[in-house]
Amino acid sequence: MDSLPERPTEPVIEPVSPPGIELHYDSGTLVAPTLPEDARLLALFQKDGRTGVFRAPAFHYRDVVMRLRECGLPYEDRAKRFEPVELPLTVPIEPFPHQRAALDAWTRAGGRGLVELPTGAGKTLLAVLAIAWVKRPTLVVVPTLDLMAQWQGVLAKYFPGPVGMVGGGVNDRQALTVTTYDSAAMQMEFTGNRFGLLICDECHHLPAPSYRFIAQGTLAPYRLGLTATLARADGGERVCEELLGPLVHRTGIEELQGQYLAPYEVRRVEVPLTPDEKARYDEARGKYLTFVRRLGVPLASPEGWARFLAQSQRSDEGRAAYRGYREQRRIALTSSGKLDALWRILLEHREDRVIVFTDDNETVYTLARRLLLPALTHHTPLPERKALLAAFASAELPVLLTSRVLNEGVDVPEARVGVVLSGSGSVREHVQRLGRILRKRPGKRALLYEVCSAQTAESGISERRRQHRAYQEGPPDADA
Amino acid sequence: MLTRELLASRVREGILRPSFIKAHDPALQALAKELLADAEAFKGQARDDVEEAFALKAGAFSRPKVARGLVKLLMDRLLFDEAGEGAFEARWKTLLVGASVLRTQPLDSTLEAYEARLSEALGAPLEAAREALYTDLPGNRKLLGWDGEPLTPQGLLDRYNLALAQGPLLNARRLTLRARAPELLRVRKLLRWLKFCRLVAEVRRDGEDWSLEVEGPGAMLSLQKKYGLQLASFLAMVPILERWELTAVLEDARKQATLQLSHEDPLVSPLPAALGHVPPEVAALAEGFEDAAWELDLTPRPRHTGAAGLCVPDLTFRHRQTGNEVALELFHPWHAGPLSRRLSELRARPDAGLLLGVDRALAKESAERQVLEEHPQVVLFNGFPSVRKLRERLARWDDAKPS
Repeated sequence: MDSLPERPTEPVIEPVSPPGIELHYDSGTLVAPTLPEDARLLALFQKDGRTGVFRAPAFHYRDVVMRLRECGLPYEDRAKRFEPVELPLTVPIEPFPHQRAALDAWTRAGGRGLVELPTGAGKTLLAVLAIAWVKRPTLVVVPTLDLMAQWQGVLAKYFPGPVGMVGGGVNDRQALTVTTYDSAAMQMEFTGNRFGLLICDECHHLPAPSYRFIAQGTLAPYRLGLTATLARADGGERVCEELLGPLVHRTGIEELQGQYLAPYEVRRVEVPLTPDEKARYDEARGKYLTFVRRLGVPLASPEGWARFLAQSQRSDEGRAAYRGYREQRRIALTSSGKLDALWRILLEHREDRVIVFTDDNETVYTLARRLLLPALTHHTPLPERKALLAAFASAELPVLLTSRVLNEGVDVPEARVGVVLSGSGSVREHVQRLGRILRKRPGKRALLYEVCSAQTAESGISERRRQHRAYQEGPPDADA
Repeated sequence: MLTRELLASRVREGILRPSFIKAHDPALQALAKELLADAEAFKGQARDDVEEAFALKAGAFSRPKVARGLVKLLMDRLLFDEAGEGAFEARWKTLLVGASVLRTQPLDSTLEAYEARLSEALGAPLEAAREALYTDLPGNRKLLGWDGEPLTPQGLLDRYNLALAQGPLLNARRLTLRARAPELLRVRKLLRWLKFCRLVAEVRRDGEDWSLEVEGPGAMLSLQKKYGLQLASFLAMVPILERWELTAVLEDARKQATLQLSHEDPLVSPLPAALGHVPPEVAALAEGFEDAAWELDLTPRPRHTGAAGLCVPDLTFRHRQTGNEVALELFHPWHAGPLSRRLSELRARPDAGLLLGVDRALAKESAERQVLEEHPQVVLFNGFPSVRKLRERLARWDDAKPS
């Protein structure tokens, strides 16, 4: 797409002139008060019977402008509030072949599309190259505050000028801005006309109903979606393709392992409950399951869990069942055997950088207080997050305890050992956690431990989350 | 706002009705008074402790769900301090000790040996260090007082009822409002609030009654955005209408229902009650305007302008024979920005039925004066447009037969 026309300088009060085609931005929509009789143009809009204008989703902007130019129709663009900007790289980048191939595919597609690369393959640097190519104000949308801080650091390294952040109590919008999906969803109706390039990191989040408007409500004619795991069980990748563009490049984890990603090994550690824990576990689980079976609640179905929660609050037996559910889960997740296993792993790897993943914040803070090791959760303020990640990188604080905030994207290349102490049955979560320790370093061989309580429901959860080709126990050579 | 689990309603034959409380119920009044007194008494206490104390009180009330809702609305209005200074630095020192001790442990060390070594290195009891490690988590923040104006017991109960009605609207894409013969100043205030909430409406009049189909700008486009929060905010102004009915189709994940509300429900607007006033000059003009062809009407009729503007003109002139209408919007010396915007909107989207009355103070510069003097829809005035000048302009309009 060619550069878009300059906006004319307006006098305070303009002379009277006949109406021409004007484009406006209104709360996530593109508005034209009048339109010429062109079927293809009219098909992009709908007549708004409420206000008498023509209205389209903001993401039709690119097609509308292209059509107006194709028809040679003069128009005044009062919708966009961005102009081309000079964005020279301050540090040269020599892309890896897979990054070069991805960039070429994306630019050939006109600066729209999805790129699927494994964690650690350099998606952020690919985005830097894309920004430098597009030369437009850019909004980068990321899932977590930690990623926001990390992206801001990377963009500040490669581009002159300030890099803004919006989210986590910070509201500093700049030509290059990084924000979270939550903040972007709230802000887009106000800022959807400010950016020419939209980059959705971990774009498999975008199809969530509360996030789609991020891409629907922005004019951005250039769009890039980045992910390690595009496929969704609900087919949501089609939403990504509609709103960001088609899949233009994919490189699998197996193609880069060893060469661009660290070789890795997965070890599963099963720990037994103590007799006392086992007795308490069985009693609590018995109360929970008896109630569930009596109700006939199918927990495997999406409504099953909601039905259990609703029913459990309506009787003493139900409330006891709910407490039983919480108790059996707590015992399985924080058994003394797990703590012992974690202690042995920490000792064995006391010279390494270790990330410990748990399923909930309560466990993180319990372990942090017990071992006097740092916790990183959504409660951790942004400056402290940055300090913790820096101290982890420098080995000043070589262990990080976290729940889910480090699951995705956060760049901790120094991490060699991951310990999954507890988690959900999500394959995606597990693959993403594995990705945290795969950043290549000379001589690095990554190691992921999965600690789970034997003879508990956790064994089943563990089996479910390991259904991915990248996540097979043992050294990778055995996998080949 | 109330969270989903705190909302209370019943659905009968597809109609959802919030389970409003009787705001003058002595037991509820007593509870609200107690909660507000507790909020004062809890100043200086940690958030977790405040929440726990309120939760116990709510659980002990005869209608615990209502009490929990009141507590939620109350907590939303309380202000807690920020993280204590020095907490981060103290934690950092402790964590460095932890890291250093871990690094020096032999491979066969036990957890107990590690803990003993930690205690030595800290030079303090380990339990105290554990206790102090995360004292600045949100649950440990201290209550400072009210975030804004303090609530009254009646105000808290009124807000509860409003929140019960607002909650379901979060699942709505549009609402229909019918106002029965409302005072015009109330309509004007509601229309301005509509614009403030960034909503659009199809407005119809049926005699003295008004009907508004209210929704978000993108609602017609099947965008994922629901504008439910804006609709809920809009509801806060509706009770000023005095006689009204509101319906909204709710798109809950499980089932569809229609929310029905009216002035008979115990809903009170928490927004400032002042309705504004008809300026004396406008009132005088309305009284003194006499013309054989045109009559003057002060009814606020909203007009959509430009791409996304909504104006509520000050006056409407109606032709006695044809029924054609010409609206007049006044721009005083402090309206330079709005005038520029309106002229720009008229250029993008002509509206022959709108006259702009512009104070000459806005036409100081010669270039601007010329544009304004030549503009076919501008009437320049000093202070306030005279009846004579308006009649002259309307006579010209009459000749042109605007539609």
